[in-house]
Amino acid sequence: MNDVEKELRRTFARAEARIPAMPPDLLRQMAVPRVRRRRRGLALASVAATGLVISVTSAVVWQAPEPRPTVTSPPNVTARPTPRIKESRTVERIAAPLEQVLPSVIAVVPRKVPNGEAFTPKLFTDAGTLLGYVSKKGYDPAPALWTYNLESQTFQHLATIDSPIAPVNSLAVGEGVIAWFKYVDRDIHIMTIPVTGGDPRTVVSFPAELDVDKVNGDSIYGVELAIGDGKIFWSSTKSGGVHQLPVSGGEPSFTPGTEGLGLFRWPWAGRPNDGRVGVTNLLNLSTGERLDDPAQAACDLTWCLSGNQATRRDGSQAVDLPGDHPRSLVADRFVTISQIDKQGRKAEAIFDLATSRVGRLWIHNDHKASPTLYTSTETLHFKRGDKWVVIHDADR
Amino acid sequence: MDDAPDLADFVANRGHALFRYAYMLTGNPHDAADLVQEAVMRLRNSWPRVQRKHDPESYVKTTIARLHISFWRRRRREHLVWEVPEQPRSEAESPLDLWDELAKLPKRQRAVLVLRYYEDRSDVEIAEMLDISPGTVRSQASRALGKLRDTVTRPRSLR
Repeated sequence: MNDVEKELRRTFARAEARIPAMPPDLLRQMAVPRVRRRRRGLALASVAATGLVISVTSAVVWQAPEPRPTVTSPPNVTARPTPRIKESRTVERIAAPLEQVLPSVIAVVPRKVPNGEAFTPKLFTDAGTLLGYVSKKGYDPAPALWTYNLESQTFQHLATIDSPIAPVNSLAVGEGVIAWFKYVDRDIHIMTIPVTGGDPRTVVSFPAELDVDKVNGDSIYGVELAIGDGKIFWSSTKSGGVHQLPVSGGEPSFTPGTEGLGLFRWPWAGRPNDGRVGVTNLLNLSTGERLDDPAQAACDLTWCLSGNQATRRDGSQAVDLPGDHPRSLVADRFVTISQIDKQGRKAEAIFDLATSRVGRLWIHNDHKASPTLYTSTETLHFKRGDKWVVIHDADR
Repeated sequence: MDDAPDLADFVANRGHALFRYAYMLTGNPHDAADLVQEAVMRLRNSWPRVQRKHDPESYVKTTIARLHISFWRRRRREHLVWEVPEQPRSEAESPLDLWDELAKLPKRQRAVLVLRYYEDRSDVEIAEMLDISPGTVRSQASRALGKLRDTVTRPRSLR
């Protein structure tokens, strides 16, 4: 690092030491929907920055924190209870690293394939093989699917794709094939390759669902995919409803009784849970079984989250989570929680419902951004140095 | 597990860190507070989607950086009108501090430096956050460092 870079880091460190206290009402204001300081505050703040009218800004910029009804509140927030800022509970001791507590659920995978391009993990095709993709930032006309074998520690190139693949694009595996979708000329194309690699094949195409937005651009809705019972299933992420088609090809058909449902995890479809963990109204596409939803809980197949507890869907067991803010329930066993100890150290941790053990992912450093924890229904992953740390249920 | 309380949890947990980050970008607490609040207001609308990706902090930091740069575009004329008064500088001030020099940089260049040297993010991450190419990140960083280097290498007596 050269001199100016060192000086810059020192400058930021010194600035951090003299940051004025956060306005006391700011947290509360942010936590309450639709109460915002007037835009005028921005103009005043900019003037204040010049040092000309500092004396009046504190009186004008910071409005009273009490929530007030406003006519602009969208319907989806008016009925909510006033959110509260909960006090965090402290733990006696931050959990040990997850790789010590539960080494079997951790896979460490290089972040680059042999030609140096960045690899993004997606899902396991079997217990020892991680499927992911390589795509250059921005527009990559030829992204590629790769797998990483945990035992041999080698990558394998499966296929090169003829259109950009977005990180959100669903990948599914089953019946010896890998499926994904691409969006071309306002159509969704569902594609497959053999799980061992090969040329991509279009199995079905249909018009994509769109939301027109003249300000931010149109939203294009993709599909969720699942494979099983010799069929490929898909559901629109907008309107739901499960369609199916034999893996070997044929005519697509609508799956009766799935109106409004989205694919969750083969063989289950359900109703998206409004951004919360899990889904509701679960339906087994293979057997037709339907599951009831416990009240006041957000559920995966077996486990539900409710407050700082995990409970079994059938009510037979309740577990107090050793931390706060359970945000995700992954693979029906891993719960992400925050821990804070008496010294005020904060950590991101995983509580494993299958073994009732807890392990930390990292300890927060307020001076440095924490890694991003990416989650899907089956895996979690985050960057550590030149590796991905992937958490998954190796028994599935 | 109502999504609104969960957003409140996030804000309670990370609000201070977001404020510090916004302060590094803007250089003053008023703009920092405005930025954080505006970003959280926007986060509220997209919270269910963002929460599912489990990436709220990066998402809101991206929003903060982009908002900051776009505010600057709209408000640049005002800044040109309101001259920053010359601050008397103490001769006894010993450590070299680039804070005032950072204030003279265009907002995007400053954002690149904050993300690189305060947040320790890679150029690829910065490119994604600011919606520019990694090449532009490098060129912006290089230009900004060049300006600051002039300050570092200039004899102290002339500053």
